[in-house]
Amino acid sequence: MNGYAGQILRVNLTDKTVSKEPLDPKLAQRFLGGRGFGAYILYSEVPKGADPLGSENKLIASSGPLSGLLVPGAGKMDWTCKSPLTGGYASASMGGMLTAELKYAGYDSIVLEGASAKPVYLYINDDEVELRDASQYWSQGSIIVETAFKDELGEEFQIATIGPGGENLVKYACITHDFGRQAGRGGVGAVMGAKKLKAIAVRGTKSIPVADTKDFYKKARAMFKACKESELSEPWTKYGTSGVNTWSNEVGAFPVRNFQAGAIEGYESLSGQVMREKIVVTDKGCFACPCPCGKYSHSKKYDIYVEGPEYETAALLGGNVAFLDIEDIAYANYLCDELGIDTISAGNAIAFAMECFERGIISIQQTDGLELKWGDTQAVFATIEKIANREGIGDILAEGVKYAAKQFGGNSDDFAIQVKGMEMSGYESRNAPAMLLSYMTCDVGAHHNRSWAITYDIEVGRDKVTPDKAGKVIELQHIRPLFDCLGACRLQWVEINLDLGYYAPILRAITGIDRSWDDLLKTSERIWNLTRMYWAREVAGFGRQWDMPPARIWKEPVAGGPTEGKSIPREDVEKLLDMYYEQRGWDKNGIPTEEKLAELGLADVVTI
Amino acid sequence: MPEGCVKINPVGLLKRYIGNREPPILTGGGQTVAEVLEALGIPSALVAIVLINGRQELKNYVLQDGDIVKLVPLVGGG
Repeated sequence: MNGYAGQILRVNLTDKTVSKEPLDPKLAQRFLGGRGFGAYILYSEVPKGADPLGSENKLIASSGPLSGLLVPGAGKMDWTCKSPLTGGYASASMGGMLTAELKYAGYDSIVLEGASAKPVYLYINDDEVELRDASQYWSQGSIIVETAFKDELGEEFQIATIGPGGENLVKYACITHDFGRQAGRGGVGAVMGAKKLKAIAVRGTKSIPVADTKDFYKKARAMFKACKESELSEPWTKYGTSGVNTWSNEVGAFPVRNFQAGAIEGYESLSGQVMREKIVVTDKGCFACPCPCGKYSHSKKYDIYVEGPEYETAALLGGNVAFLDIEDIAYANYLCDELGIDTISAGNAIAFAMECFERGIISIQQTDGLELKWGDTQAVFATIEKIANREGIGDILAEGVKYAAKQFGGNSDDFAIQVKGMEMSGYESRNAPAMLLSYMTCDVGAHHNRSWAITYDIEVGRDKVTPDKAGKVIELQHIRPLFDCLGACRLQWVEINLDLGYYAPILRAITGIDRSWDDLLKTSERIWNLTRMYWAREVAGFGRQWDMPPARIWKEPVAGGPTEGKSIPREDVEKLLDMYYEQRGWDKNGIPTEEKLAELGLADVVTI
Repeated sequence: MPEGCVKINPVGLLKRYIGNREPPILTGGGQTVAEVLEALGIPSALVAIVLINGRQELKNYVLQDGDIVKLVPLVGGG
């Protein structure tokens, strides 16, 4: 099959068996690849009600039809499973080199099934696939283990690992690859840990068939040329996502002190320029990237190396815990990476505990003697380690803020900043209704990568609660996840302004199948609805209430920064959902109608 | 660019605020970036990164003769 490796690799961790299946062309046609494959396999193979940390859950790693080919940013891999954090759908995107290597080894997806009794790693060297003992690596840090595997197997192997956080089943444990690229959200690392799978090592030497090589090269060259000539390449390569740290404060979008305020005094110390001068060692890119936005850094203060901090980490382990020194943030980032936990959820969990401590909802006895005060570096670093090791208060925070609020009590549920059980990423949105709706309706919980609509709020008016905002969120929820199906990075489009018109033609040159951009968007909508039906199947009483944000949104106005005093009334929050459901063709409870499912060709895979 | 001037170069989506005109050239510095944005009708909130001679600066930066200013639009975040 042109554009695909042509096989799905199944690995059963329980009985240590490996099987290879030909990729079904119908699966590729209907679900494209990457996140689409993951969603279909999860829905159709993982039994209803499966324990996310039990042997019935599956962890599915998938490349897409662009992955591993000479397309700008074609280095994205999707990791899908039932989420231990939310109990619903989880899908996390990872950059780096692994997705390309997997295809060169001859596989589009790996489906990890069952659970091992002892620590193992998955060794893939083209056709040679086996589970090997990993006892010696257990309990070691993600990047330490990646380095050890490179030494043991060879530099050419691409490695994905979990850290102690994944082993200890922290509900937001991540999977790390390429010394600092993560599949970060939803607890994919905990699912890998529950299977006692410490790492995956892949080496591939095969090629990927392309339908029209000549036409493909012509189109690929044009795409790279457009990226290189874009005036946006310079700032994005130089600063990466840290370039927007100051902007976010200027517009009141920076989460500060557990999303109480939208800007922090002294934010200038977190600018991309300061970070570059103080800690950045080199730029670091993923596979086939013309604008390497990763920043590999060294902190002299702590003598550590880390990839980052990205914007999200500067927001959640910076402003949200009141850190103003980029080196403190870099060290917190380093700890999370090595221990294998998501910086976004960890930053939220610690800030939530700090606010509970400040308000007297939890005592110093409950924090194991730690003074959880804003900006206290030692308190933050110690809490990160407690979470990863599930010690004391860390054992509660390792479950996520929704659970922690139930344990801590008081009114803490109002300021447990999450949707569907997933902690919110880095945008204060009480004066950005489209951004808020993006968080409310995101298919994994409160994450920004499906729709990042704050731009639209700023352009059309931040106070407006109008149907066009719901329309914009839906439009973005189809475009952005489409990149996660194609197996390519969306930053070339979002940041460098690469025209979307390039993608359908180059996919045609690769696969030999003529599909319009609209047809691809329809595929993305099909996957969106399938994942919604997965939630409806797995979560008792799922519906509108699961799309609601924390009550802070309407109960407490922004307490500082340019949007001070702003909040979104509850009736407007409900109105946003009404408009969104109507435009999606869902009922008033947020469930896709039979007509909508039939229109998307989902009648055969969807039953509740 | 003539001596003693400041060149303002909005890129990407920000180009629309100067129409199809050539990037504006100010005669001499002394103004802040924020003041120039206001004068040109470019919404400050849509400008994510300000590069002065290739270096990121804040919007309260006071322009100096010879500065080349690149205004980078709001984009997609991390």
